[in-house]
Amino acid sequence: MDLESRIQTLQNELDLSATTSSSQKKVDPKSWLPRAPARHTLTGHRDPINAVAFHPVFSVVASAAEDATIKVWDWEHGELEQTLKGHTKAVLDLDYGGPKTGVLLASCSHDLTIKLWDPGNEYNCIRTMKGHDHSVSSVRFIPSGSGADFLVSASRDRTLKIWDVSTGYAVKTIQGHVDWVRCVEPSLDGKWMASAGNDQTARIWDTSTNDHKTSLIGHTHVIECIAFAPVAAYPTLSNLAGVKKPPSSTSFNEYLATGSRDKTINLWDSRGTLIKTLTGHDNWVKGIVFHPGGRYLLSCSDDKTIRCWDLSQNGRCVKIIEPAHGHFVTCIKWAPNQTRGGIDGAANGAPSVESPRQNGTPPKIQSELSEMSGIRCVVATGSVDLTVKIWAT
Amino acid sequence: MAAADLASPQKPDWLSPSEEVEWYKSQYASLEQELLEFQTFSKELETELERELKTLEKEVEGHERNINTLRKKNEGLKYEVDEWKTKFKSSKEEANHVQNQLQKEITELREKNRTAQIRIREMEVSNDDFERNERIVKSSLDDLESKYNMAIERNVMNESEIQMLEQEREELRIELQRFKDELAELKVEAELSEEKYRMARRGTSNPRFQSPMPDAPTTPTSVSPTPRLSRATPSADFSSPTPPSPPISETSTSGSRIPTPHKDHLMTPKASHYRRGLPKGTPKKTPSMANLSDSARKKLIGNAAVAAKNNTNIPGPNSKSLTQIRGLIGQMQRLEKRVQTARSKMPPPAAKTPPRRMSPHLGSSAFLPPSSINLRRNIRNPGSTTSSVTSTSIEERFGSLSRSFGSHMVEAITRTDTPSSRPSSRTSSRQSYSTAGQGVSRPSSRASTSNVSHIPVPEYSSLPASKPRSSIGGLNDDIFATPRRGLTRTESGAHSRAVSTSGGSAIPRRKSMQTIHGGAGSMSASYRRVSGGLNSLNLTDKNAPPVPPVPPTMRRKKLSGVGDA
Repeated sequence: MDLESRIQTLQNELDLSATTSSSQKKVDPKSWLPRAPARHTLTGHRDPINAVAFHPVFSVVASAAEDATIKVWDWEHGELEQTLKGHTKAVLDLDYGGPKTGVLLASCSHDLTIKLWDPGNEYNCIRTMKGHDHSVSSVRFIPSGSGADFLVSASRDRTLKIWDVSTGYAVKTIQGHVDWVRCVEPSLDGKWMASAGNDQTARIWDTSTNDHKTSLIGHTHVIECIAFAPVAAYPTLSNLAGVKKPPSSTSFNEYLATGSRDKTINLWDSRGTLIKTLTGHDNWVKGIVFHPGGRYLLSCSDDKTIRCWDLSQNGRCVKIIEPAHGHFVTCIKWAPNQTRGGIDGAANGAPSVESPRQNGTPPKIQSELSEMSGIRCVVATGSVDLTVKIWAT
Repeated sequence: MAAADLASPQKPDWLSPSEEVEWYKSQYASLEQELLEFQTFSKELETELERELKTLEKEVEGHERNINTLRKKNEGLKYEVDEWKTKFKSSKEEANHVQNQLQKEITELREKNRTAQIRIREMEVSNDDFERNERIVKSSLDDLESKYNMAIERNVMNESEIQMLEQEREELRIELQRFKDELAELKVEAELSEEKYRMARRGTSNPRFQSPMPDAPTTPTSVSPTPRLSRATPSADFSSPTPPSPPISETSTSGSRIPTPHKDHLMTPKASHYRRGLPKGTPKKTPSMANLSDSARKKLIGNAAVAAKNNTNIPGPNSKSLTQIRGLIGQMQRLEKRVQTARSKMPPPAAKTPPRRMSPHLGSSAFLPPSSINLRRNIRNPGSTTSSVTSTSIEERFGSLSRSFGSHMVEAITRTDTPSSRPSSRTSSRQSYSTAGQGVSRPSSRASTSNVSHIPVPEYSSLPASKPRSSIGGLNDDIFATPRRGLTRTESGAHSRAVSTSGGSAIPRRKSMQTIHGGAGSMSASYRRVSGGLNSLNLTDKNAPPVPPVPPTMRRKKLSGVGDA
C-alpha cells in the first residue's frame, strides 16, 4: 500500500512535470521547433501548392496553388475560409501586407499579373497590376515605418519592379539579373532588397536608389529562396562568422540565407562573404525561414523533409521532420509575431519593426523578452501533395 | 510745183513780155535744175533705202529663224517636262504602294513577334511546369517503385513464410495423425487395462470370461461404416468362431512372412516422402524426434519390456484365452492371405486413384512416384479414417495376441509393420517413428497391433477408399485443431510419444489419459481381456466408465461421424 501510494504520487508528479514542460514550451518559444504530427493538414487544392502566407494579425493563412486559386484558411481550427479565383494561371507567390490602414493580400502569377485582394472586404480583388513581360515569380510588400505602400515583384523577364500600392503603377524597374529572378525579399526595415534566381547569384539592392550593392556568388545551381536574418539571429551568426562583436541591431541587412537547387543552404553576410554552407538535404531546397528567436533556421526541401538547423551549434541539423509531407515541400513560412498594441502594426509581421523601438530601451534582455512574448509558434508548409500543414504546439 | 509756187509769188510786177519771157525762162531753167538735183537725190535715197530694207529684211529673217529654233526647243522641253511629270507621278505611286506594303509587313511582323513572344513565354512557362511536373512525377515514381519493391520483398517473404507454415502445417498434420494413432492406441490400452483390472478383480471365473466373446461381434457392427463399405467378409471372419490353429508357430511365421514383402516397398516410399514432401520439415523433426526418442525410447524399451513381460505372463492364467488367441491368429493368417491376394489384384485401379488422393492432402508430388506404393497407400488411406477405428480394434486384438506371444514376435512385427502401408498422413507418422528409431523400441502391444492390423485393414476398405479419404481430412482438422494450437509441435510430440511409450506400463499411461481427451479406442478392450488384468491401476485413473462394450461403440460412432462430417 505504501509503495502504491508512493507510485501514485510519483505518477502525479510526472504528469505535472509533463504538463509544465509542455506549458514551458509555450512559454519559451525561442527554442520551439515544429514537431512531427502536424496540427492541421489542410486539404482542398487540386494542384501543387506554391506558396503560403500568414495574415499578420488574424489566425489566417493563405495558400497559392498551381490550380490558379488562392485559398484562405483558419490555421487555428484548420478550416477553409475562402477560395479566391481570379488568376488564370498558376499562382506563384503570396504576401500579406500593405498600408497601415488596411492589410492587403498580394498575389502574383504566371499570367503576368499581380493582384491585390482586400481581406477586409471579403477578399475582393481590388487591383490588377500588369507590366511584367513574363511570369511574376515573387511578390513582397516593402515594409516601412508608415506601413507598406510599395510592392516589389520579381519576374522571369529578369527585372524587379516596384509598384505603388495606392495607384497600381510601376514606379521603378530594376534590371541587373541576367536570368529569371525567382525570389525577392525586402529587409525588415524596407531599405534593402535581396533577390536571386536562375543566374545562381543573389543580389542586394538599395531600394531608395535602385543601386546594386553586392552580389552573393557561390551557389552552383538555381537559387530558390532567400531570407534576411532577423536581428535576434545576429549574435549567433556573427559568432558563426567569427566576428567578435555582433553588428548593431539598427541595420537589418547584415546576414542572409539562401537555399538552392544544389541542395545546400548558404549563409552570407551583407558584404558577400560566404559564412557557412549547410548541407544535408537530399534534394532541392525550396524554402527557408529563420526562427524568430534567431537561433534556428528552418528549411524545407524536395526531399520531403523539414530540417531545423541550430545556428548556435555551428549549423548542425538538430531536427528532421521526415516525412513532413507526402511529396515535395515547396514552401515554409513562420507565423508573424503578434503585434503588441497598435503602434507597430507591422503589416508584414516582421519583428524588425519592433527593434528600432527596442533600441531606446537599453538592456538586451528586455528586447528578447518582448520578442519572446510576440513569437507565435506556428509554421505553415505547403507541398506538392496538395496539402498545407500547420505545425504548432 | 512747190518751186513754181515759190517763184510765182516772187514774180515781180514787169511791163514787157520779153522781160517776163526772160524771167520765165530763167525761172524754168532753175526749176529744171532743181528737179534734176532732186531726182538724183531721190534716186540715191531710194537705193539707200532699198539697201537698208534689204539688210533689215535679212535681219528679220535671222530673227525669225532664231525664234523658230527656240520654239522648237521649247516644245521639246515641254514634252520632257510632261514626261518627267508622269514619271514622277508613277514613281511616287509606286513608292507609296511599297511603303504601304512595308508598313503592313512591319505591323504583321510586329504582331507575329508579339505572338511569338507570348508563345515563347507560354512555352517557357509550360516547359517550366512540365519540368516541375516531371520531377514531381519522377520522385513519386521512385517512391512507388521503392514501395513496390518493398511490397514484392514482403510478398516473397510472406510467401516463403507461408510455405514454411505450410510445411509446418503438414508436419503438424502428420504429428496430429500420429497423436491420433497414439490416442487410439492409448485408449485401447486403457480399455484393455480396465478390462484386465476388472478381470483381476472378479477373478478368473469362466462365466465371466465368456462376456468378451459376444462383444467381439458387436464391435465390428459399431464400426459399421467400414465393413459395410468394404466387403462383408471380414466382419464375418471376425465374428466367426476361432478356428483352431497352431498357436505360436503360426504367428511367428506370419510375422516373418509379413516383413519381407513389405519392407522393400515401404522403406522406399518413406524416404521419398520425407525427402520430397517435407524437405524442410524433416530436419526439424528428426532432431526433436531424436531427442524424444532418446528419452522416450528408454521409456519405451522399459515399458515394452514390462508390457511384454506382463503380456506374456497374462495369458498364463487363462486357458481359454489361449484358445481365443489361437483363433485370432488363424484369423490373422487368413487376413494376411487376403491381403496378399488383394495386393496382387490392386495395382491397376490404384494407379488411377492416387493422384486424386494425393493432391488434396499434401499437394506435393512426393506421393506420386512409385505406383506400387501409391497403391498401397491408397488402399490404406481409406482404412485410416473409417477403418482406423476398425483397424484399431483389430489391432488391439492382434496386439493382445502378439503381446501374449512375447517380445521376439513383437520385434519382428514392428519391423514389418512400421514400414507397412498406411494412409499418407498415417504412414508418415509411422515412418517418422521408425526414422526416429523407435520402431524397434515401441511398446510391444502398440507396435504389434498396428503392424498386424494395418495389413488387414486395407483389405476391407480397398473398395470404398476414396470416400473415407475425404473424411480423414475433416477428422484431422477437427480433432487436431486444438493440439495444434496449444502445444508446440515438439512438445506435443513429446507428450504423445511419452504416452505412446507408456502403453504397457501403468504410470505413464495415466498421464496420457489425462492429456488425451477420452474417445474411441475402447473397442479393443473386450479383446484385451485376454491379456488379463495386469495394469489394474489404470482403471482407477480413468474417468471413462469401465463398462466395456457399450461406451466404446458409442465413441466409435461419434468418431466416425466426425470423420464423415
